[in-house]
Amino acid sequence: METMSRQADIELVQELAAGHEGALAEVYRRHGGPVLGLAKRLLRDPNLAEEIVQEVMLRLWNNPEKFDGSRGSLRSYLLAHTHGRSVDLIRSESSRRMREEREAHLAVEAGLSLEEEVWEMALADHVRQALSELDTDVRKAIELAYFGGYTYREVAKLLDTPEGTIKSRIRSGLQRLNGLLANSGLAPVS
Amino acid sequence: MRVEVDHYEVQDLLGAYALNAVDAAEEIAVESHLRHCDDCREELEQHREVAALLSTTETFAPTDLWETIVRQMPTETASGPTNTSEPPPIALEKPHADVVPRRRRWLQPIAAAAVLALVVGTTIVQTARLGAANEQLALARANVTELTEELERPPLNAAVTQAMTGVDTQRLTLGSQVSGSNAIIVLMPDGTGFLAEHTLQPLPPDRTYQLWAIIDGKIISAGILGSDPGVVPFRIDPQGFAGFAITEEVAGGVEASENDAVVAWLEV
Repeated sequence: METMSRQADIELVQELAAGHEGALAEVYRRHGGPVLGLAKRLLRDPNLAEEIVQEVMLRLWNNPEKFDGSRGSLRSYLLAHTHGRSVDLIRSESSRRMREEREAHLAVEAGLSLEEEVWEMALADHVRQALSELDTDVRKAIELAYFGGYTYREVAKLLDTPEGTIKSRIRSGLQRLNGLLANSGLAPVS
Repeated sequence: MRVEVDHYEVQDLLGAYALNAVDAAEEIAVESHLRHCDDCREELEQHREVAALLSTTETFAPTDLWETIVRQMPTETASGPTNTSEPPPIALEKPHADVVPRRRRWLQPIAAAAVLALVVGTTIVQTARLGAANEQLALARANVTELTEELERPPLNAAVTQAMTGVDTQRLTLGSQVSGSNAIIVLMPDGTGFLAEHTLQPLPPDRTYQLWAIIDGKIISAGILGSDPGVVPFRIDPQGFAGFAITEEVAGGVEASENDAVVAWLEV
């Protein structure tokens, strides 16, 4: 199923590269929801999030050759770009106000609210199950980095933990999740 | 600032890098290493696939936003791909088969009726009468005007036109005696379809129409249509297909509708 889906992505991007607008419409239909959801979650601003979605889709339309189907799925490619651009926006000087608001919530973020928000997202049951099997410290580091948009150094400060420990927790946590999800047939087997 | 890192230091950073959680100098160092290290590239790919699974909410992005993107394409793509009038390609992936509503007042009567209609050949109208609250869902196949007006978006217009010229293309009229509205869906044998025409009333910005397909007795979301839909493409699994319904929902759509259908079409 993973292979079929990956192959479908590759064919879709090939069609898109040939100039078929309908192919981008199909990309949007398949992946637009998660892309928008991630941008909203990070930016907490629906308008900015929609701008990110536009940028991500138009980037794919203008530069389809940047997607390499042999290196990952189209969804992970789009989400990685969405995450990167959202984080850029969060960290940019022009979003000083946004950052100040975020920092005002730091104490809350370091607590359980972010974790709860993640759980409120419509994660598939097996993903939720896999997350629940991580140690709390590991899960929190991943959630703050990915959904909070913090660097691992910032996460270390938030959690009052050495930077090296956070760095290792993020990596080992992702590897553990990969193993757990691979058993569900979702993640690529290493 | 330049940061020199060796293979093991990069490996240690890969998780954070995959989550965009490294600083700029580290990012440059990791990217430099990735150019010549297959092992690290492979590990990075795995981290990103996992992150993508964490992001997945399986909701649909609004049609309005898609229309905004389309409007930007001519100027954004001056040096990019050339638009053609060909229809979307065929996907191998089943469309959102995991998005199956769990709560829906109108689901069971329709799904049961659809299955029953397939099995015993009775009409959906007769079956639907058993549920008074859902009576309006299955009653109407209203007569509607011919699809003759020029559609708004040229590429989709061409795609719909091409779809309608297909020998095996179905043109389905969703209707309701209660709402008085109707909608025409063009559906090709491979499951590619379009909401081509309708008389649905525009909704406030915080509301949307949502399309549902009845497949193997299950109600599966086939797409968010927006508050004032134009021509909307979608794709369903044609195997076991037995009907469509359109509901009104909050903007962004829902996984499981609890609302009555505004219009519906069920296979007899």
